[in-house]
Amino acid sequence: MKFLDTGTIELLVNGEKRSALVRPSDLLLDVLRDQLGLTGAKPSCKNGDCGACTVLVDGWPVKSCLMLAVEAIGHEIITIEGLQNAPLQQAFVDEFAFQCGYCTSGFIINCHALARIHPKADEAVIREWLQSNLCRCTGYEEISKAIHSVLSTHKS
Amino acid sequence: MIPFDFEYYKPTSAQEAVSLFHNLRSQEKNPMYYGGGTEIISFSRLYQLFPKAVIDVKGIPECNVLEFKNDKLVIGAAKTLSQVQESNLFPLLNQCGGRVADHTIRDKITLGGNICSRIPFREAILALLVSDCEVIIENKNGIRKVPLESIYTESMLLEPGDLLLQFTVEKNYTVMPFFSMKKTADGDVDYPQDRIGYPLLSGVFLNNKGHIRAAFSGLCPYPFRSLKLEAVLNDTTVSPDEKLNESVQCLPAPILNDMDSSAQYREFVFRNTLAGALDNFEGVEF
Repeated sequence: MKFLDTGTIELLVNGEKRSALVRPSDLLLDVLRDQLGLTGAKPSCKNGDCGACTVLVDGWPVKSCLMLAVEAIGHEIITIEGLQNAPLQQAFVDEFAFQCGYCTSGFIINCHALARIHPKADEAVIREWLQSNLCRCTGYEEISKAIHSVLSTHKS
Repeated sequence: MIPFDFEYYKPTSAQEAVSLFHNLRSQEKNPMYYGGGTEIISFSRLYQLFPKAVIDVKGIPECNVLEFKNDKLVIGAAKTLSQVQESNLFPLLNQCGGRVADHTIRDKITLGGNICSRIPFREAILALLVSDCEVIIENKNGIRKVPLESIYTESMLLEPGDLLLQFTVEKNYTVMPFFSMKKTADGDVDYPQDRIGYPLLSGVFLNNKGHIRAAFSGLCPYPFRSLKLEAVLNDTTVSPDEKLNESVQCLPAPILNDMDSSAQYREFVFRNTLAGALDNFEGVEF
């Protein structure tokens, strides 16, 4: 496979095949937002630090500012728009786990992956995963309660 | 966004990747092998790297192996740090690699990429330095297998076009007792954000049948294992205080002294780390 210049690629996003006109050096984050209109993944640090742009790639959380769009060909991408009534979304509402809301989609995607991959995660694993995202409003306690509530459901 | 264009190639064999590299190099396209790509993307965005072509190695089967074969652990260079960690095949490597960046980024950073990084910490290499790791490399002359210590001093000594395929470690090293730690400049900030502090020092200690091997990152400008330092640590004729004093004299380069920490403070942390680590190994006199 090679891409030498601007061209059309096909991505599998939220269960749908989507076409996008990209440069080989275009980032997945920019293509999702600017080409596909999926603005749930948020641009913030654009340096892999904050996690606001997190999406799922084959079920694993990935910071879309650190992935080329062409790298995503052949992989299943899920953005926050692709989560529909996931338990984590309700848990964030129930626990008031957001303030300004800018980091929320990244946190939910990351926590959703954690609940799917490690449904019986212990405190150390939860801590390790949550460290990937920053909340400028420092609402960590509520976010932590949200993920704990979903994981405890799994545990029971 | 990355403010310039480059070509993207994803070969399906190591030979194709090496051939591509030399072909693109002859065209002065400054090709780079692309694993997780986090560093290439970050530095390109900051105008510090200018590849005109990247060669994604994730489609090469040899780079995606992670298993025991004939009593050796074989890890493909394109395996992510998360994949290595989830496999739990080499707990010391899990701990070292599991401290790089954060969990989500470790879903992208590859073992080969971390070890070839321009960033000074490269913590995954610490586990490999103390475990007699061998490296399998493909280049235009074919495949060669070399001890890690023969191609690593301050960084990986690779020729243009050399492609890291795999790392191999004898199984017995994967089950030896060990102690490892990472100290950050600030420590806990707020739950769950205790990763904010700038990394200060990482150390690993492997107890090889009573003989301690040690490697450090963040103390000097590059990760290192020092046989001279290990000789001091394993010398049963000197007192604990003398060991600490002599160990500081065995470092391969001056202790880092920068805005994150003074050299004096790093030395203080290093001494404490040594004392704690050696105390941790039962049966090792200290």
